[in-house]
Amino acid sequence: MPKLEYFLLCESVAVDQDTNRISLFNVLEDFQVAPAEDPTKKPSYMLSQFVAVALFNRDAEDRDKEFEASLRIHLPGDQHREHKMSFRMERNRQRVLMRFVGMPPVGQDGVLRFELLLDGTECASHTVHLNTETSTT
Amino acid sequence: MNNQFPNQLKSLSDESFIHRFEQVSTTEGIYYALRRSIEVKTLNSALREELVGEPELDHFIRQLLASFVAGEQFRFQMSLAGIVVACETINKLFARQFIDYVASLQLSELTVASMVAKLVRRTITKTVSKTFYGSDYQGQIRLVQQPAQADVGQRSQSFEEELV
Repeated sequence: MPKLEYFLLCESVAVDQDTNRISLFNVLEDFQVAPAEDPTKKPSYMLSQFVAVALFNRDAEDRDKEFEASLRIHLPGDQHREHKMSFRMERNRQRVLMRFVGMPPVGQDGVLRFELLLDGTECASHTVHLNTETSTT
Repeated sequence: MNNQFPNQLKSLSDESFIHRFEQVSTTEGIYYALRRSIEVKTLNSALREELVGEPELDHFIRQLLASFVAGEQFRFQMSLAGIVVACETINKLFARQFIDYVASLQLSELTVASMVAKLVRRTITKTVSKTFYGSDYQGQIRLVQQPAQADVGQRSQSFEEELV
């Protein structure tokens, strides 16, 4: 089974054409949003795009085998979504990028948890806290 | 090349190997031809099984570079390129350093080897990607379904309406 080197969620990535080095931009940590003007409305969060980045190292027996990576998004309030992609371990190191344009709207504060699974086994997770800014004055 | 080197290395400096890829015009073509060649496959296996190690490789490369003449095409360019390709799947620091070193060379005498090394460096880590669109969420996100008509402000507005 390939071994996970790292897993992160960020807003965008760039891969250098010459060196194949990857740069990650705006790693997702916390979302702070201003409260709605109408206090009766719930806060709502939206991220227009984000990328889940994982790097796997190949074991000797993984050569050219196919694996399935899944990203399970746990939303506050016990809902979750799962997105899958298959890849073949052709090289010693395999980067898996799952790009998302739009995401499920979240209507409450809490924790947004991104879970990475490889062939159904959890490898890592990334947690983002959603907070509504409250005035301190 | 004298007999002090293992056969897995010596075969890369043979005349037949040096001239075999002369007709290949693209870097990708040379790279794939080298990958398929028996000499490179043999060296790759030897490096993997540690029959050939860093000292032998280092000594061999120094020996090759001894015939370097500024302003003339380097005779053993293809040998260097072959070693680079053989090192591609070797998870050792010296292999990575050698690939990086050859890739960083900016010598017109060694253009082919350098281009092959750059290509190898790009392919050591393979990137696979897939894009998931908000339309997967079936009507919950209007942004993706109607991106062209609205400016950013209007999109934010439509989100507000959609999400509340």
